[in-house]
Amino acid sequence: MESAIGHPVRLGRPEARIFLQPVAAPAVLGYFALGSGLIIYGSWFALGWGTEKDASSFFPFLILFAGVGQLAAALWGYRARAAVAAALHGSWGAMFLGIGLIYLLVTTHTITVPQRGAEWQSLGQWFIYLSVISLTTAFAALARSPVGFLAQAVLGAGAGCAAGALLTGSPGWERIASWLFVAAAVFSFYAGAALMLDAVYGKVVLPLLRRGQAEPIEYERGDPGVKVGQ
Amino acid sequence: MSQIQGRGPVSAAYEGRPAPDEAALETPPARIYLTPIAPPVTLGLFGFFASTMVVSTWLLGWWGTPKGSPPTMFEVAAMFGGVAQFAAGLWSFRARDYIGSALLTMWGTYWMAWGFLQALAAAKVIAIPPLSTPQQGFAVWFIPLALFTSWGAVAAVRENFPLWTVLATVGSGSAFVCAGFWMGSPGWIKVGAWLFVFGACFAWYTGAMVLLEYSWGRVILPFGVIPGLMKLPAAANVPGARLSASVEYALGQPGARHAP
Repeated sequence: MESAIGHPVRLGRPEARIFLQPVAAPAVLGYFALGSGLIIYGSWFALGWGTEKDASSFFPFLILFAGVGQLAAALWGYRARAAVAAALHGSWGAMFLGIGLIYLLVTTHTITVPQRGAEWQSLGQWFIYLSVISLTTAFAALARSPVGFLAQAVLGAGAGCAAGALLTGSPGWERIASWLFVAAAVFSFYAGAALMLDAVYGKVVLPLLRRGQAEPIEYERGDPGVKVGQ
Repeated sequence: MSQIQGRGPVSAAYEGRPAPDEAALETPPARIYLTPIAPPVTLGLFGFFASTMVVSTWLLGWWGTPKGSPPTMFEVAAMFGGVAQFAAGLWSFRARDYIGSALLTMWGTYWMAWGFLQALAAAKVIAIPPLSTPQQGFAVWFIPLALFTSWGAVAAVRENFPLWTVLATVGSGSAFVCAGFWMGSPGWIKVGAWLFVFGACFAWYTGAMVLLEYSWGRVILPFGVIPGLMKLPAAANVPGARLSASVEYALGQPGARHAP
């Protein structure tokens, strides 16, 4: 038997194995980063703390933690076989990267943006589709994580209200959206903390309302990765 | 330690022992490791969906003003349609997905490049003319996009109807948009934008269809499979049917099992 380029084939059909590699749950970072972005940006945008200029101080945090941090969690979500985390944190990570970039350009006086409470059609458009995506991931999360479902359903509702507020320039809807973002942030912090504490303590510390208990495979005297933790 | 000359690469002896004759060694046993990952196509298609909807609906005049592209539209498009979709495309290589790895990556680079162009306009480095002015330098972008997306549609005939619809409408929409920008014809651009809107809706459906089947372990949204022509069985069209049997250690950490 010969290969495609005429060399004799020295290897028969090799055996295949499915290789499962455990990793730490990326949703912990994802939920922490999502919650942080929501509580800072969401509350500032609609609840009205601070001044218009404050965005110039917090946009780097939005870009790096809520943006890059969530995107990193999303990409590790593929290895963790966490389809919801990958879709949710990838989408919102990109959204916060974009919002952070807008305020970077505002800070450098490259563009101007409407004041809070005013109509802002282009941002409102983004929130329409983020709402659709969040409600989709919420329904997917319901299969395994009721707390994740709560966080994402509230987030989807908040994004929908934000879209309505920005498209019509309604400060009232903006306030409702803001409170929903804050609520979604609280659920996100809870979900992230529960995932972390349950895994570290090996028992339920904060209930996640899901079935099953972890019993990871590890060689306790091995290097990080072979054992759980460092 | 002394070195001896062998055939091909230099071999080294270890602690005085002679180096083995590599040609005499048996071929070492090989294993193929198949590594499960979450489906990357969902994030990629969600990024495409949102970015395409925002920009296409603006082109259709559903919102904004026709004066020019709003300066706060491109940032999220470059990140969501661009960076996130591009990353999902790269992960599609691990998923052994030929269509996703080529097309999500390609459209991700498109959105990043478009964002770059818009950023230059926002910084007043370049001026972007109105849609009624021929923009041949931009129109040519859509020639490879139309060609390769259409090839993806040909490949998707083996996959499922929603994915085929995404690629067929976006591929043909790219051709209309190309013609529109080449001639400075807002009419042709709008025809292309309508096709993009249609394709974007199917992109959401396809992404959601894959995500929900993976998360629930059964079909939630029908796959639109034509039996005999496409790879999946006809059961993929029936909500509740089980298509896959994931290998999981249920008590393990994420990766050894599906994760939330």
